[in-house]
Amino acid sequence: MTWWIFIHFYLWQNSLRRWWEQPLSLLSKLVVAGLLGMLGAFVILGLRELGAQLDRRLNDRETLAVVISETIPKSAAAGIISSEETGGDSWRLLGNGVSTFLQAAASAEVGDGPRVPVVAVANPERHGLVDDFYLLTRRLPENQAVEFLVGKHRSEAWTRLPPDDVNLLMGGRDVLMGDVVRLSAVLSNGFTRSTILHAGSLADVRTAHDIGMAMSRVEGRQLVIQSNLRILLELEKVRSIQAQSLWWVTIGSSAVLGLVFGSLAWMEFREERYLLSLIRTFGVGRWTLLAHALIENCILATGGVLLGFGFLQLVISRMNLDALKMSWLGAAGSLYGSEGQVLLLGAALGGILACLPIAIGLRKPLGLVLK
Amino acid sequence: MKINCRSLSYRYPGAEHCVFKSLDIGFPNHVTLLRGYSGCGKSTLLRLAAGFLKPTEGVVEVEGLLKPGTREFFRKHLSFVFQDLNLLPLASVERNLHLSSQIAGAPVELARKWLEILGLWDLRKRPVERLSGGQRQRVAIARALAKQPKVLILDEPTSGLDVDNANIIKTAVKEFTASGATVCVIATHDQRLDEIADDLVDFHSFLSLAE
Repeated sequence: MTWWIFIHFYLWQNSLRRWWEQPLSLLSKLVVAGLLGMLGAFVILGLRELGAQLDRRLNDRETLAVVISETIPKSAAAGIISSEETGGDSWRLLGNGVSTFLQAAASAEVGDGPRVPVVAVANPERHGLVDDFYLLTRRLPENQAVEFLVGKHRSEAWTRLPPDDVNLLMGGRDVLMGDVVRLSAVLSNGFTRSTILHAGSLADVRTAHDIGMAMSRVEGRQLVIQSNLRILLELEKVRSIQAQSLWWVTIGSSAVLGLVFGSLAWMEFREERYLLSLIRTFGVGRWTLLAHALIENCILATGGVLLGFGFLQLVISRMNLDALKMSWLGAAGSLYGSEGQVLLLGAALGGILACLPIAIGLRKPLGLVLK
Repeated sequence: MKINCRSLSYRYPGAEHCVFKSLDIGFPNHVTLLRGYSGCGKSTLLRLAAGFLKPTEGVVEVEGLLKPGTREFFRKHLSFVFQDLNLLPLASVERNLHLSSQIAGAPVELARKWLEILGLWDLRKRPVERLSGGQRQRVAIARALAKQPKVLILDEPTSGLDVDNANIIKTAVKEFTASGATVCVIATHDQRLDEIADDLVDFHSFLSLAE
């Protein structure tokens, strides 16, 4: 095996000497790989930022919440009020939690402030409220009694902070809340039934939309469905583009590296063909020589990409990214994760592709090369 | 042992005509000198005999050994000295010899013997690229012999060399082939090598007769 080690030692010695004598060839390989690495890093970081922006927009709201609203006319109101089922339970299969609120057509006067909507719930205890009237507000301290007037009915309500679902539905406005039985007189003039469904997945959100539209069509009901479906679909699309772009950048980098390295490697091979053929006359196989070319190209390609990453980080560390509104570039350090590894693999693939002309060249009979 | 070339034809890729056609020639285990004008096909025949070229037609066989052209044949049994540089230029003289011997499985100590015979012992540590043409040619011969090949093929081994260098090479080849265990074929115009030849083939005449 000593000779095998020596042959590889000699081949590396020869490579180092070539790099020393023809630094432009080495530099052009590293620069091309480095530029491709930087370009890939830009694409990855840009797409990652786009996804993060959408994530942030979604985090502002209840991401997978769906609100299904339906206007119930006076003629149908009494029937729904008197039944135990207020209409929300049929959605329960699609999510982790369902709340139904009945918003009366009338509103309430509370002190000297603006009129507030009147909302009834079938199970107030689910929202931490016992059998009473409540003014859900952030303006006043909790557990304070306030007087209100709905129609001709005057009474008192306790102040409470609004639960999340009520906030989601009313957008932070004050609400007078009571159970369905207490507010049945107000509701009997008609109301808007809103069901908040906390879906388990994007697919469930989509199903909720499909079911709502089917119910509108088949039963002739006027359902209004609100959700983040559009943004969720956008996010899904961005993530898919992110994954595809990574592959395209990787494949593109491989192809460009393959072509550039291949043409340079071919020129170098033509200069060294005599020497390699000579080594073959000693009984050293083509595969040994090809393996050396392959390792050399892979080292230069991946080394170039890593240098590109490093250079990008160096430049970034010296820039005021916030002032340039490019703070997303600050995540360049995280490129050493799986996406960076895919880019490195692509570069290595480019190095392997570059060996194809060498593999073809090594097939030439020794007698046609050696003189 | 003998190299047999039977019904051998060879045409270079892209060429219209064959260099030679249906050639039958044998090289027994002694020193054969091939003569002939430049371009008559001597070097082509040597490359075919070594297995560096594949014949267009016909076969080359080495009695009792593997088929020429295999890696095993190159490693263990064949030493071929080309007209041009055929050494590893970055390696030292000694390293060139040791590598060849190690690949062949020949004792490395033999390298010393041939380095001394060929007057290279003092130069053994020097990189080949820093040697003169005559010294390089002697290193090539030393490397070929240190491997202890069964087939030794030399293509113009003394061309362009001065008398002293040519004599050194002649002496070394004579000593190596003295045992009669090696098939040695030398293509040359140099008449100084006639005295070590057992056979002398005028390749041009041989081809004419064959046709």
